[in-house]
Amino acid sequence: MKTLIGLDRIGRREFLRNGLVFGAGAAGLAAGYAAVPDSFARAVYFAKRDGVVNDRVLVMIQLAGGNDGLQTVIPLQDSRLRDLRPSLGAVAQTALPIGGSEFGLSRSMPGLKALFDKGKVAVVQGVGYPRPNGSHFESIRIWETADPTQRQQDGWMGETIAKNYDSAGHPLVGCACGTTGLPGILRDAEATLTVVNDARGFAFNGGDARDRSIGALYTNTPGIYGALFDSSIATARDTAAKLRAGAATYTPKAEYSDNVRLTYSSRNQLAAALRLASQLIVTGTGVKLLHVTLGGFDTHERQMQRQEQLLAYLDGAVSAFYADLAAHGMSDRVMVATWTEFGRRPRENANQGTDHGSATPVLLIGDTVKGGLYGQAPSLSALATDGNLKYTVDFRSVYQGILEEHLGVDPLAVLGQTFPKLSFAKPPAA
Amino acid sequence: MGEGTPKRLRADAPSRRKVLAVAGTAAAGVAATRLLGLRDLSDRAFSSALGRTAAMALEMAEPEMAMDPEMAIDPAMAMDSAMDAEMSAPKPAPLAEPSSTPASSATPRPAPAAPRPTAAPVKPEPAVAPRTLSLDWVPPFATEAGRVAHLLRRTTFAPTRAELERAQSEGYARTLDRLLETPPAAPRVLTDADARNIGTLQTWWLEHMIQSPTPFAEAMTLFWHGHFTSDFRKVGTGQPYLYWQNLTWRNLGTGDLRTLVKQATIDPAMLRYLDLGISTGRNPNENYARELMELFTMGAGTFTEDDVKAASRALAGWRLPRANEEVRTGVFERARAYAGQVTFLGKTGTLDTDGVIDRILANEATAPYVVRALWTHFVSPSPNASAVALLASRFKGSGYQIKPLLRDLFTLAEFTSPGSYRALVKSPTELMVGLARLLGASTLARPINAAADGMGQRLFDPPNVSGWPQNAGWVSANSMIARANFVSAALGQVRDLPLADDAYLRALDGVVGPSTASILDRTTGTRDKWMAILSSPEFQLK
Repeated sequence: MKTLIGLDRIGRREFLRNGLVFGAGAAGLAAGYAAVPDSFARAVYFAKRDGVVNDRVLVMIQLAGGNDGLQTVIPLQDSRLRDLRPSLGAVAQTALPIGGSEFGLSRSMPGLKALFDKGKVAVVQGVGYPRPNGSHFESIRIWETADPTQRQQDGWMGETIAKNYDSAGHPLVGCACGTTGLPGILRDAEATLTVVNDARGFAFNGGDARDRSIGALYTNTPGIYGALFDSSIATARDTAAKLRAGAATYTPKAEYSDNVRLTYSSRNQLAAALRLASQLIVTGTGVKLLHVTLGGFDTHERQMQRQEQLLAYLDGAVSAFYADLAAHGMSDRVMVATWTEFGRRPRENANQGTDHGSATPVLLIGDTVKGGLYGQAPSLSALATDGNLKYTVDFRSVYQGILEEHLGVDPLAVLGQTFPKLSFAKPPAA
Repeated sequence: MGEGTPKRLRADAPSRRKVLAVAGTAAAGVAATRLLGLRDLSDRAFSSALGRTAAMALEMAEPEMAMDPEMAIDPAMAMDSAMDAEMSAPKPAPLAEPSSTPASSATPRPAPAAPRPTAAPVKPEPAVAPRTLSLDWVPPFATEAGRVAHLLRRTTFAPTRAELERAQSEGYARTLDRLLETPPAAPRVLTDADARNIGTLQTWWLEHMIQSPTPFAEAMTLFWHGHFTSDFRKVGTGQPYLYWQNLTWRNLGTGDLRTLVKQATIDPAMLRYLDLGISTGRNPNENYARELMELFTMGAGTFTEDDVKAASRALAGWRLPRANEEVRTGVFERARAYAGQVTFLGKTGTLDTDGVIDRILANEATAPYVVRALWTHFVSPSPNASAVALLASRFKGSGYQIKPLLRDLFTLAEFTSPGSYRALVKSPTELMVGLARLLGASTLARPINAAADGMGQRLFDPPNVSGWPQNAGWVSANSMIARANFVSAALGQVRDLPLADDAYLRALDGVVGPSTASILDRTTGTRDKWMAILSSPEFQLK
């Protein structure tokens, strides 16, 4: 069957590499690395590298399906928008202006508009890469691996973990929330990661005895999947213990709601996933890099309503997340950033939708953000020959800014080259 | 510096070629686990995949192997056993020696061209050193009974006791004939209301998977459901479209690819899921045209964006059926279609839906893509390139007949080669339905459906148009908890459990790792034994 990005594409040899390292994590856990002292129960503890001693946390939100940038960050004064989009272009009239009168956020994002006005939101426009790929899955992989040539296997978040933190001993350093499988962006042959779909139920039923017997069953498992199985079970036991401990001390201080109406194709668990992310951050589990996904952005038809529902949902969930962290005194260390595989075509199709496009904005949210507009909005008058937007900012410039200025790690080690600098983040205190 | 400079150099292929293999024996007590031996693999006679895997392990671990002191080691005997297995390895393939190629396609990653230009990466130091030894399973393929059990596990979720006994008395060839030639048993007919209730639809299919006398038809239906995906979120439940689609995959799943692709194209659920039903020649919608080529037939990178645009014009013209039209397919309206010429896959001319499909089937990418899809689902994660080419040419030559292709796959030497043994991870549906069939528990459809979400596979609800993940994609901290908890819940619901004394033979081929063996040896009681067997890593693999 088809392979989605990442894991399935590992050949046996890579898989084994992967497995062996996973195994190290398993062995570490099985040997009872045990209690991390409270005073260290923060990200600082896990920094592997000189200079990486900060408590910064990154939350990436994937807007899966290809989010339409022109209905997210809307050009307000470009008459070409109405020409290209007879129906969808109407969003310019109701948009919420940001940073002047030239651009506005979709009316479905009042929460982010308010945060923008407080200087907590950076909008990078025109983000893309050369020779845009119109396939969801290839473009997702490109964004995940930070490699338009599609040669890299490791996700850039996973690689960041492998290069900077001791994930083998402490798998909660990287966590995918609100999903059952590890997304390609977090995968790395040398990192151990955890995945929590829902904090409730994340425990082996049957109590300590069952927990221990499962651990014994998954010890030195033979075969090409053996080490992956063993480390997944060990990670599960570790994460379950941390969640159990954390649940008692965490009370959300904002209202998270997944009770939203969406027309299709989303699991409606973004708010719960961010609530879980907040719990992991607030309770000092040492989590550094988190990933959550909101699907449904592949709006080939009736886009206006569908995308507005999705953006409103995103707006509500992210606003609650920010408010919750702020109320816990933790917002000063957390950055939220959105990504999507591509934007959509400037010209709307006959179904009041849009087909696959190219460049798209990235939103960065948090106290560590220097708010404002970055990059350059692609021209609607000078489209590429395929009718799509010409990108103005390489997506890896955004990653570089996140790595260097927010997380305070070496971006070159992850990205392999240096890109034009975007200074949208405040560096951690030395 | 060029764009996309490689970030990391990979290690070269290992030079040491030794493998240490372990198997639990079926005889006299599970814990009679013993090492089967150290084999020098430099002659490549042993399985290439197994060899590479284990050799890699040793390469990285270095030769001081930390042996479990409880394991009895008898190198001489071990060598003999392995030789026996090798000598009597099955050779049922009528095909021209595909297996003699040492799986050169297993790891086709292009080698990075230049070293990473920056300072050396910081190697994370694990809290505890990596485990020093990696073991692999020794497959039970020396006996026909072992090969038959493998065939049934791959094709029927898991065999019931009766199915296993019958197949083992009939032998491999007759069993395969029966699997391929028996027409699918029809599932219970659903009322319109039931067919539009997603929960009812899910449990209806699960019940049929568990109880059907033709479980292979259900395995194929599940395969095509994951291949030609549609989800209820977009398709909606206002019409019984997903029910119809499910019947289509079952009816056509082993027929010919042309008919299948045509039906997939004009299937009402698909017309809605990928928007072909609202696409017109004047205003084509590209969604279906792209995925038809990228995911359903040819694969990414085998066509251009212009081909997508051309196909989207040529395919336009279909709409959903109306209530008074007694059809279960889309309806073609010439007025909605495109009348002009298109240039598609290198040729220019007028083209309708059949023409698009014909041209796709004529394309050299199609047969290998479909062969690889079936291979990675039923045989192993890394198809052998030369065998794929051979099977693809036979597939295309047969007029894209699916049943002969399946026969080729299941008679291929690779299917019962050591590299294929436990080389695939069961999907959640395969795991849970297999469990129900093993236990003879026909009442588990509802608990299975309830547990499916936590493992990542709700029927009629794939995560995206590329369907579900495979293998390692099913394994995470989250899914392993969900799997273990399903076993506890299921065992709590089944009244009359079959005896578990020989269950590790029936469910696990008698091939168990040291930890499972030791736990089974210490476990008494039917329920607890089943708990260990069904929760074991061995049972997660197909």
